[in-house]
Amino acid sequence: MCKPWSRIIASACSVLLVIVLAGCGGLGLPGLPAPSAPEGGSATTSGVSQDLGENVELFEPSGGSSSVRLKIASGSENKEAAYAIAYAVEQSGVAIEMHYMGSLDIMAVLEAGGGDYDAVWPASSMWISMGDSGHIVRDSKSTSTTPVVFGIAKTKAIELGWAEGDGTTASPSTAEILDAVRSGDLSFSMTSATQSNSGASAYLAFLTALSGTDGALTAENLEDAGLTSEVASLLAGVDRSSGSSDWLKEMVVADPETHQAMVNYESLVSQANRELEEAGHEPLVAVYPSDGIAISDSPLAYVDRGQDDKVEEAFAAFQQALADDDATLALERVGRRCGLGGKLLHADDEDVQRAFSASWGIVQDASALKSVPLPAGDVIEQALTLYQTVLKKPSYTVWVVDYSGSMYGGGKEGVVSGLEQALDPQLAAASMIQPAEGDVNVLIPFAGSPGSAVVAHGSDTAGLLDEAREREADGGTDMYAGLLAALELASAAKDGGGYTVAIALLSDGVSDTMNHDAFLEAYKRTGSDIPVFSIMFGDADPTQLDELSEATNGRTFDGREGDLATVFRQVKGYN
Amino acid sequence: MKLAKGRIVGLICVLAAVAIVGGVFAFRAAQPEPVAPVEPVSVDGYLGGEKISLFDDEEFVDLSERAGLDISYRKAGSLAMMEASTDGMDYLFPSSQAAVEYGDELGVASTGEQIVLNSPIVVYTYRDVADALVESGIMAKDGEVYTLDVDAAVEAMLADTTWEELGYAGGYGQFRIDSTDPAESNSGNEWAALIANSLAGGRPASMEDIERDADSIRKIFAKSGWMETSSEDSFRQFLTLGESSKPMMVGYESQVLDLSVNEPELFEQVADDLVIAYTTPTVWSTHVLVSLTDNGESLCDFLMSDEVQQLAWERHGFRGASQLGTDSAERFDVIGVAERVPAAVELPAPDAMQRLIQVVSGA
Repeated sequence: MCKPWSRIIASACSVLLVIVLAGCGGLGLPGLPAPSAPEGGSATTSGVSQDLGENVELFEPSGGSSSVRLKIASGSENKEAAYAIAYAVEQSGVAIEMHYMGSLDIMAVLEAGGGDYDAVWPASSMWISMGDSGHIVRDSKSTSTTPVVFGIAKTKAIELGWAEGDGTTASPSTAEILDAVRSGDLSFSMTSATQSNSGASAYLAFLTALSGTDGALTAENLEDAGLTSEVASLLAGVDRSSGSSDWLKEMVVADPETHQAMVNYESLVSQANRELEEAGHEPLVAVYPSDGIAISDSPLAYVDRGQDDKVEEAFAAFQQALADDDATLALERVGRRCGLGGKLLHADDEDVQRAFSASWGIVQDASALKSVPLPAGDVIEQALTLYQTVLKKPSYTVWVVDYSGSMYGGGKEGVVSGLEQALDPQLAAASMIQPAEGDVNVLIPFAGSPGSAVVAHGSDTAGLLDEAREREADGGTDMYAGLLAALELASAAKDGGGYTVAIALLSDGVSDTMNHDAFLEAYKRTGSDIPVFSIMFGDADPTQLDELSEATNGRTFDGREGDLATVFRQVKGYN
Repeated sequence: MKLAKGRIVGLICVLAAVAIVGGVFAFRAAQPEPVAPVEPVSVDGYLGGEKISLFDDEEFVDLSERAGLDISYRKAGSLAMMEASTDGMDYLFPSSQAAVEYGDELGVASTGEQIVLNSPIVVYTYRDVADALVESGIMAKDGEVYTLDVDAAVEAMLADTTWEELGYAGGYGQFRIDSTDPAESNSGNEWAALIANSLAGGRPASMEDIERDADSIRKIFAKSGWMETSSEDSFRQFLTLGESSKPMMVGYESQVLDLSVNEPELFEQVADDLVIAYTTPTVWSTHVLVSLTDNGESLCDFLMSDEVQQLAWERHGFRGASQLGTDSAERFDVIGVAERVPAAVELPAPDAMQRLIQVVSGA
């Protein structure tokens, strides 16, 4: 039933695989020297976790003596499960290499035959079922469940009439949430439905609840203009998007004044609150829509590519350890539910109580988890395409591109190919990031000074891409001047209110600094939440780029190694 | 009495099977212990997910080693495996005769077909739901054993009855019974056959019946939306997501028996709440081993051995080739397991089953 989408994805699969590997800052690439295991004794705590770059984390048993290392394609939300993973690694003696990516990427990995992964651990079984056309997945077991909810700043929730002073929350219907968005009382951040499970699940739940069918969403529902316009209105309330649930949480925690609500996993609302309260901010309260809950079941499954028997044995040992009492305790302490049917196994534990605190609106028993039936596979595909091309809030992206002399050759080629992956309608459709009709993309090339802006509306991006290809890389570097020009356009778009707005900076990051202060001051003056996503090239010095990410609640990506398409895809996933 | 014919057929089946198995036992008892060959024979094939726990059982592996076999598998739905590439494969092990017939139609070149295991199709649910449905007449309770009236359930689904109207406040929207994808997996497929028979007035649905009732059949499956392609996955989803999300799920009786033996801690969490509803009429899942090679034939002989038949019942809940366990169902700590499951209904003919698969696939 997922054939049509398979076909769409299939063409991109070989690309995606490279992407997935390259997205790990290069360290996860086969052929490159593997980071050496710490020699016996260097580990002081039980288990060692080692950060292998942005999206890869290695867990090794203390002593580092394991004979098998499993490579797992995992959803980013499992970053929060590090304690449980480290425990299960220690217990089973199996080393685990976690490669964090979106659930939809995991589906693509399976479509392509599993790459060199030994296991997958997406946020929902749905992505395994849709991706496993080759019957290579087995022993799939849920590790825990968590519902997708609204986390809303407590005072805001009280103001909306959805929370009491003690944190207890009401369960508004999706229609009531829509009313709050329409009246301008509520905006929220949510991950991209075409890149991340939490966004996809919430979006499908919105559609199902607002369709009024009382059952699973159908293809006919998607043709109902009344329904799609309601969902578009609801999505217009999205103030910030992201390609990953965990990063969405980090972004909200980094700037709680601007982001008063997010759609995310209950477990990540709990984690966010731990960090918010530590930083002296008020917590979010969990609001469970009465008619639109979706549940993540976090399945861990073996990918059978004909590996050695000892690989499968190692998987079984790790999977078993991850389900034992200590592991489930560790998982519940970070807000996951490990009992069947959404129940808690360790409700008596003090830290579990804290993670499921009633003062955060979290409902411990499973009664709130009345989830909508998921639509059939072909309906999901149609719904996601509809999201990307029509329903999502239009994006306004200013591409500030370095054409200084140092970008001559490889640097410029990389930039151009990345822009093509993100903006060429055909190429971008393969990763479901194609420009929608209402989207605006602006190119601001710069060297010693910024060039004039090239604006592209909707899918008509050919002119912009021509300019990007034809322009010579030559001259000095003043990225701050380029950013100043971009900020002017971006903040005007932001003030209009109809767009999610972002600046994407493509540079080798060694800029003159005469406009450094001017830009940062201007940014502060606008007072708007426009992230700068920087992509590093050439002999990049990340110092300047990291400072920008910090100042704008943005993010720095590494475009220096591997396939750039993934980086651009991630950037687009963020708006 | 529309079940009369089905009852007779079922009874004959059981009697015949008992006679055959009895004969096999007597014959085997007279054979000397085989000597295990030095080099084990590798056997690979496609396996329905609900039988994985048997194939992964340590005792099963030990027995197979002693029989000189090294058995591997790939998980696939009963119908999906008939369409899969059989290159290098020695066997297919689906869960129904209908799937085997589908494979024959598609030209799967088998060297032998043998019914190895049996398990009735049941509907899993929870006590709250079951008690509400007993009250509203869709289910019945006799002692600890629940049954589900397929006709009444079909009628309620076609009428868009909500859970609330049936007295169960915990469910989302309309009353529905989830299953695996009937176009890919056997338990969903046999459930579709039961629905088609019900709409045909209780007899095996013909091509014409299915043509006439196509919209009704599609409507019932559309209520479920997403369907898993493996009975094992759908049973796991039923357990994991729980009562509020998955109030009812079609499965095999063997699945809960297997769970109770092999994952007692997990089973314990639902032991008091989980309800097995035997459908009225009943349909059996017959697990047929389709051999593709000589090695597949060796696997078949191995599966029919007393030791494997006993292991399959005692540790995995399959009622064996005889449709009976090798001893009483009381051996399991599961409430409401029927000792005998009598009323076996006849499925629609192969051509009607084909049409049914097309109908549920939207064609």
